[in-house]
Formats: sequence, C-alpha cells, structure tokens
Amino acid sequence: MNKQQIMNNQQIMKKRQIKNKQIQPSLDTQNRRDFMLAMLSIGVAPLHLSHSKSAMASTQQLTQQVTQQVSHRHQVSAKKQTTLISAQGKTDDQYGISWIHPKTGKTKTVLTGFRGHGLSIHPLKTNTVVMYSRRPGTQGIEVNLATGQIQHRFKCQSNRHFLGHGCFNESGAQLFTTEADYHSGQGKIVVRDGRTYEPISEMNSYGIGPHDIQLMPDGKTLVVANGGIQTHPNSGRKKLNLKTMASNLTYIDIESGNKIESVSVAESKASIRHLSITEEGSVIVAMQFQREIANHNRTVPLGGIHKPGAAFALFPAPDTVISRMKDYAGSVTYNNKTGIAGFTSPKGNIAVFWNVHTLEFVGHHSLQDVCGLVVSKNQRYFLLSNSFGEIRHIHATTLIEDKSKRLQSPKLSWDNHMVVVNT
Amino acid sequence: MNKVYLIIIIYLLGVISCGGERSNDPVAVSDDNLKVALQEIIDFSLIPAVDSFAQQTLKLSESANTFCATPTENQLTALQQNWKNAYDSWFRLANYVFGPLDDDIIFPTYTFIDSLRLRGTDYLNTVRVENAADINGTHTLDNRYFSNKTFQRVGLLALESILFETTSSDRSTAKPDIVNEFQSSSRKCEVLQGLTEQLQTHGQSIQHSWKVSTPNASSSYRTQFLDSTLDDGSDPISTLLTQFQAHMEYLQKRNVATTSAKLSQSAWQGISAAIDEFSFFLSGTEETSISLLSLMTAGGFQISVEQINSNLEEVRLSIAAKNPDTLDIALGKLDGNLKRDIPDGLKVDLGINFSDGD
Repeated sequence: MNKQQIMNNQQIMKKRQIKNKQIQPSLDTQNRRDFMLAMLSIGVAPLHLSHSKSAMASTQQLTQQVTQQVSHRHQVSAKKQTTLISAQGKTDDQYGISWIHPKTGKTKTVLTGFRGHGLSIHPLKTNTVVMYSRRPGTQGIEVNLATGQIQHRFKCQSNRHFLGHGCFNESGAQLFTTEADYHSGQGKIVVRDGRTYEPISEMNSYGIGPHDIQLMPDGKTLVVANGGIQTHPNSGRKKLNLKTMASNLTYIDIESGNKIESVSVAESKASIRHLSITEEGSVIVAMQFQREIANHNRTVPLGGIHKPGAAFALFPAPDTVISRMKDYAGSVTYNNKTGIAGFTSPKGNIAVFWNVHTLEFVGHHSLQDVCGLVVSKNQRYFLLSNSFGEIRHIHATTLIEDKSKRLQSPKLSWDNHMVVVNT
Repeated sequence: MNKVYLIIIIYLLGVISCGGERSNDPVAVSDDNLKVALQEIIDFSLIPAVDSFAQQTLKLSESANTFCATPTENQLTALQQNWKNAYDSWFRLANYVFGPLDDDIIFPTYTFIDSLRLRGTDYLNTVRVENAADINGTHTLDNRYFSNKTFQRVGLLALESILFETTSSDRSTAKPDIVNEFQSSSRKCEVLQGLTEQLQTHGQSIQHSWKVSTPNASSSYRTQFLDSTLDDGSDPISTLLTQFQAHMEYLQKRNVATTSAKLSQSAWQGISAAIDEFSFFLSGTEETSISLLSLMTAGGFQISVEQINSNLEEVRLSIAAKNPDTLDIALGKLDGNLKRDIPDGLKVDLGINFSDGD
C-alpha cells in the first residue's frame, strides 16, 4: 500500500467517524467515565442504572444531555496519563497484573496468585480494570490502578471454568464472561453484576470453548469467538475434541440471549480465538490452526474479517509470512484511523499487519516472544509487548518503530494481552 | 608491633591469593562464562559452517564450469560429489536459519537454497518441469533470469535434478545418459551454470553478512548478534537454542530422511552433518574453552548432560542404521532437551510458554 492509499483510507475513515458521531453519542471508555463523573455532578448516582431496556434507553438519552458539560470539563481537565496494563509473570509466585506509564517508564505490579489473560477496563469505576484467569482458571479480579489494590475477587460457579475473556455492556452494569460447563462441554456466557461480579444469568455461547467476547458498536449485540476446543480442569489444557472441533463466530442478542448469526471459516481446524471490532461494526478475527490434527500441509491464513450478514474474508499473505506465524496468532487489534489490523505471533516472534479495506499485507515487525498488542489512545501507534518486559511503539501509518519510545522492564514478563487506558 | 602488622598483612594476602578464579578451576554457570561460550560457538562452529557453505557452493560452481567445458563421466562424478558436499554443508548451516539466512519476510534466502525447509513441501516435480522448459526453450538464460526465479524452482533441489537424472521422460539416473544430454544440449549447461551461480551468490552473501556487514548496518551480523544489538531484541543464546530446536523438529516432522535428496540419496549424510554441528554447538570443538555442556555440568546438571549425550548417540545409531522410525523417536528426545533441559541447565529464559488456546 502506498502513501496515497493510506491517506485516502485515512480520509475515508475520518468521514466515517464524523458520520458515526452524528448518529450516536460517543461510547468510548473515556467518555463513559466522563459521563459518570458528570452524572455524579448533577446528582445521579450510578446505582440508579438498571439492566432493563428502558433504563438503557434513558441512560443513552442522559449521555447525550451531559455531553456538552463533559466536553467543557474535558477541556479544562489536567492532561491524562496513558497506562498500559497486562497480565504478567512466568511462574506461580510471579503471576500478577502489571501496568506501566510509557512516559515515565514507571511500573506497578499486583500479585494475583493465578495467571491472568484478558482484561477489561471498567466503564463505571475510574482507574479500575478487571482481569480474567487464563483457561482453565476459575478466578477473576478487579484492580484499582490508583491504589494498587485488588478490590474484588470473583470465581466461577462449580463445574465451570473461565476461558480468559469478558466484556462489559455499555453502561457497565453487566459483565459477560466466557466460561465452559465442563460436564456438558458447552460454552456459556455468564452474565454478572458489573459491580459485584455475582452471576445473574447465563446464555448459550452456541459453540464449544468460547474465548474472546466483545460488545458490538450497537450496544445490543455480543460477538463471541467459539474456539471449538474442549478442555477439562482435570486434564489441564489438554485438547479433548480435536477430531470433531468446530469453531465459529457467533452474534448473540444481549437481551434475549438468542443467536443472531453464526459463521465459520472453511478450514475446520482453524480456531477463532481473538476479536477486534471496527467502528463500522466489522469483526476482525485472529485464529490458531490446530496443525497436529490437520490432514494437509497447506498454510492457513490466521486473520480474517467478518461483516455481519456477509461471508468471511481472510487476509491472504505469501506462504512465507503465514508460515512464519507458526499457525498461531496471539492477539489482534484494529486501528480505526489507518484501517490497519495488527496481529501478533509469539511463536513466530513477529507482529504482522494487514489493511482491512484492501486485504493487503502491509508490514511486519520482528520482536522476540511478542504477544501483547493494542492501539494507543491517540491511534498514532500500535503498541507491542513481549515476555521479556519490552514495549515498542510502531507508527500506525508507516508501521516503522519509533525507537526513541522503547521501554524495557527486565523484571516483567508481559503476557498475552495488553489494554490501554488514560488515567 | 610492626611484626604483628606484617604477619596480618601476609596472612591476608595469602587468604586473598587463595580466592578468585583460576584457569584450572571448573567453569561455573555465569553470565560471563555464557558469553565466552556463546562467542566460541559463533567463532568455532557457526562461522566455520558459514565459510564451509560459501566454499562448497563456490567449488560446485567452479566444477560446473569445468564440466561444461568437457562433459565426461569422470567430470560428472566429481560434480555430483561437489553437489553432495554442498548439500552436507547446507545441513550444517541449516541449524542457523536466522539473520542473514532469514533476511526477508517474503523472500527469505534459506528458501532459495532448500525449498523443502519452508514447509516440508517437495518441489521435485516443479523443478523437473522448470528445468525442462529452460533447456527446451529459446529464452535468454542469463544471471537476471535465474535471480528472478521463485524459490520453488532453484537451489539444491533444482541442481540435484539436473545432475542426478536426465531431463527426458525416462528420468534415467545412469551417468552416460546424463552426460549425453549435456553433450547434446548447450542450454542444459547454461541452466546448470545459472543455478550454481545463484547458489554461490547466496553462499557469499551469507558469509559477507556474518563476517563483514549487513545491508542495513556497517557492522557484521556476528558483531550485532554477540552484542545483542539486533532490532528484534533477540537474546543470542535463546535464539540459538530455538533455532536448533526448530531444525530438530523439522528433521523429525518433515520426514527429511525420506523426503530430501531422493535422487542423490544423500539425506542421511545431510542429517548426520546437522547432528555433527549440533554436537559442536553443545560440546564445542578442539578450540573451545567453555562449552554449553561443561557449563551445565558445572551447574549440577550432570544427569541432563548424560541424557543429552545418550540421545545424541541414539540419533547417530539411527543414522548409521538408516532407520527413519528410530530417528523420529531420538530426534523427539533431542527436541525435548532443547526445550527444557538445556535452557534449565544454562538458566536461559526462552520466554513465556504461549500455548495453543491462549
């Protein structure tokens, strides 16, 4: 992709962003937090939020009403500090959640006693992040980044284990966690109270081994990556159903729990595991191919994009690129500004990038054991982390590293996923 | 009083002189010793492997020119032997598929030497068709033509096909038939020379990068690698361990013993060369002062060292017996040693174990 194409894409994306902003209030994390602060300032407590549809609608109206106040307050507020957060550690006694301020390089770690995986920034609680245990763990925690305290610990119900990810609804009143019923083998989406994390109800995930889960931009639909792989705590991480595994991407209506749509890729042994949603509502997927059970030696694309109602489009690349990823994509993220999706492969020691509009392979960056991947808040960079405590800034347009921003925390081992928040 | 001070000073000097490390002390696992071992691996094993490949591909190219001047059976025998030598030296070097050998994400150099290495796909039919098209065609067979070919159509395999069998449909492997084809078609020699020249160019380019300078830097890859100043942030010792592990896995999972070099029947010899290099990597050469296994032994991992040596012996016995089944098992054991025992024994961090399903 040449520079002109990138600029054209940027212009198109910019127009789309403006259009989107006109038809719905901004729902990003920052504004949600601002919204909550504004609510408090006008005397509306978060406890008034309800899970009902009507309450959700009134919440959105209120969001629109307070937008102006929020904008004004935003202008006068002090400049916020970016914080990168990730599960961390290599051994039982080191497992924790750590965060780093890229500008100062200062880090903080809270030991958790379990290996974490995915994280969610709490939409209601300032400076608060929720981390879910790695498959087949049974714990989750809520951490306050300002105090460094674990504020809540929550567990799965009996006969259940976490699968590593979760997401909040728009209001933050509900948390959805991907879990497995290891008696039936069925994937479940457990609906939890967004403050106490107590289970409220549950839905079918419409597949086995639901891994990543995200809220679609409409705020009404969940999209779930059913990896298709069954595990049981008694057998650790052993894959129990490789011969029959069937992965899918399923859209679920939040209110009813009904399946809206379920799609699969042609390659049955490609496990859809991680997701990134574009502003337009397309879903970018990262996959892991179960080579040991495959009946062929072909390379299998590990990235693709799905627009609800349409067919999957896979990101093609030369065999040498896909081959280098060693059948494993660990994280995925999308940069709405540049239209570029990034994927990491720690097994291949590489981050690779595709333009989602043209499906062109546009670049790569080699880094040993790289897995964490997130777009910076200002969308200028893709940020990469690895298990040797490194963080790198890759320019989102040129895909060239800004070496002056390298960070190294030798005592830390950043794990699979990283999230970014302005605190 | 002065005598007392003197006695104390002499005593202290005596105590101090008993401390410290002496040349005949057993080595200990330390960062400094690991650095020495690493440098010796590069200088006494890796660089010689690079030199050997550059030298053998040069010899192959020269003998192709000699053969083409007067194609005889004797010259073909010498040429075939030079191909086998180049193949062996490649298997030695193929333990180090990183840096200059893996210099481009889309067109990595190693694939242009050995196309099988990418995914274990056998491109024998592809090179047969390609060679025949070149020999029977009328297009110009110059350096540019050969340098533009894709990796599936060049390298050791394309040369093996042209040197060890006829291009005709009967695929005769008889030397008189092969020589006869060269005598009756000057284009066949042009293809041979074009392919050997490309291989030689790769050999020289790899050597230049390792010893003189890389395309993007003024220093050699050796210097950048040992100084840990490579952009990918790779740690030298973990890179080497990972690369050897990848090669052992390749030899095992891609059934190299039965898939590679079928026409020349050289696969076992190639695997043997790869294992010899692995042995140098672990135990060092005659010039080595600190080897990885000596560090492991000093660190109290004698049992692991014995196990590794035993597994190496098992691999050698399988090679001697040309038994792919026992080789498969023995290589699997070495693979395990490289993933666990050796990093543990050297206290080397290979990173987080990112497993499928994370």
